[in-house]
Amino acid sequence: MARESILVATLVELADNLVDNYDVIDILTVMSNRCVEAMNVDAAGVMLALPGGELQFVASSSESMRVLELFQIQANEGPCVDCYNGCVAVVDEALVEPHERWPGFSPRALALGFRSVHCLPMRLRGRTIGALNLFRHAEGALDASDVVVAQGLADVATIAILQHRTSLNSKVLNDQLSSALNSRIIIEQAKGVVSQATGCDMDLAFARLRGHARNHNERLTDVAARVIDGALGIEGLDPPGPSRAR
Amino acid sequence: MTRANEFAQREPARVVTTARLLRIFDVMALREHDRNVQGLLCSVAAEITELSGAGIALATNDSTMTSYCTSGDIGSLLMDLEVTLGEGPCVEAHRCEVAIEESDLRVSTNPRWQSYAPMALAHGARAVFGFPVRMGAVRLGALSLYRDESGILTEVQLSDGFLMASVIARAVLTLQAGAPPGSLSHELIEEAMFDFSVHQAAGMVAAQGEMSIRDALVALRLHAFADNQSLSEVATSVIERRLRYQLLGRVWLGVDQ
Repeated sequence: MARESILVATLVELADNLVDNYDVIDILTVMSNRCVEAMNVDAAGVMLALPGGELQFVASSSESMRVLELFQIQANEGPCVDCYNGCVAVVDEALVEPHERWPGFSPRALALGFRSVHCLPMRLRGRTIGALNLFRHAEGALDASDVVVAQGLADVATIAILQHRTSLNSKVLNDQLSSALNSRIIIEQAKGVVSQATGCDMDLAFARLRGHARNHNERLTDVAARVIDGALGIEGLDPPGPSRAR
Repeated sequence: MTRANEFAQREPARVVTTARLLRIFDVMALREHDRNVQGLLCSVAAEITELSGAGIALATNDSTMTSYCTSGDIGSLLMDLEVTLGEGPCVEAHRCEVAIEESDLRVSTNPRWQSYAPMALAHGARAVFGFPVRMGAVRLGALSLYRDESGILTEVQLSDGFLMASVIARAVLTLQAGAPPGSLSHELIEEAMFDFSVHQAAGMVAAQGEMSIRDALVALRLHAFADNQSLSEVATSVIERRLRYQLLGRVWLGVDQ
């Protein structure tokens, strides 16, 4: 599919989902997946932080443990921290060993075959709330047009999280961020329950939760919470298989 | 050798956390040699946010709340009020899972605080605030803070309230697992603020042991203390299926690959 078509479809889908009862983690997962499809990148993820707090990943194009660890280590070190603290895009950073600023992050990224990394700040009205993190197997620069597209997607993601453009007082901002961060934790807990109950790996556990949510037009976080408290039994969870959308 | 030194030898040193989180841990470390470890969390919360006092309430199974600790002269009176009336910043922050800001109780129009507001004022509180204390699906309770003068929270106070609530969630579970006295701040700094493997492992253990996620998070910590491992190491063992919790006998089993 031509890149423009992917982007238009993404924007339409995001706009369509930004009404009613959408799930922030699902939206950000869609966005991460589309980054990989629409741009020359091999993995993408979104990190958020409470003001004064550490960056935490909330969505990713891959649920594999090694990739999640790569996001997780960026709580304290790495391109996302630099991007978030400086509120500035970090692009075309080659991962080398040893890396002066990222002694823990860089070798782990290289071990997964990533040779370059890029981060775009997620910001609105002077506040930076997180970073969109992109990884490539190839070395070298992102196209300038890719950087523009990535920043655009990061901006849409920011709006998805903050919901109400008009009320950006600090309490609302903190509530929204806290809710997004907490939703991710609910999903991780639910992944563990599903993995144990069905014997599947965490990747598939996430796919089942997300597939069920999409098939039944429910929020991903709500499905996860219901699996955890037993209101939705494993036998009631849709079996793995193609769902309507990625 | 302390646990901290042992971990540092086995795992690469964690880069320090943010300045504001470090401030919380520093204050905690200074105060944790006081006799009252539970009260520590409340006095730290009040000191960090520079307010008159604090209270932490935990939710029980039937959704009532009980006092975990309080600080400040008026703190325990306000907590008694909330627990008795079922109204107030802890109750509301926990139920609605949002921060609660009531900057002037004299002009409070909150319909849910018709009994609470005048009585809290009578006790000497002018402004009250609440923050949910939770960790994913585990909704532990809430942190409340009060001031004896009216006024809103500054941005820094507000964000410190949220940060404090997230530290309190981990602290409560760590204390329930029996962290050795004087070690709480150490234990909390050793653990990441967020570790997906801990939460995935908690889900697995909850299913294995037919227990709540909350109990699973405590069980993981108990095992970490008993085995002198980090919480992260125990979680990884569970996820890699080298360690499982057996419902029969409520024991941990090492599984040979």
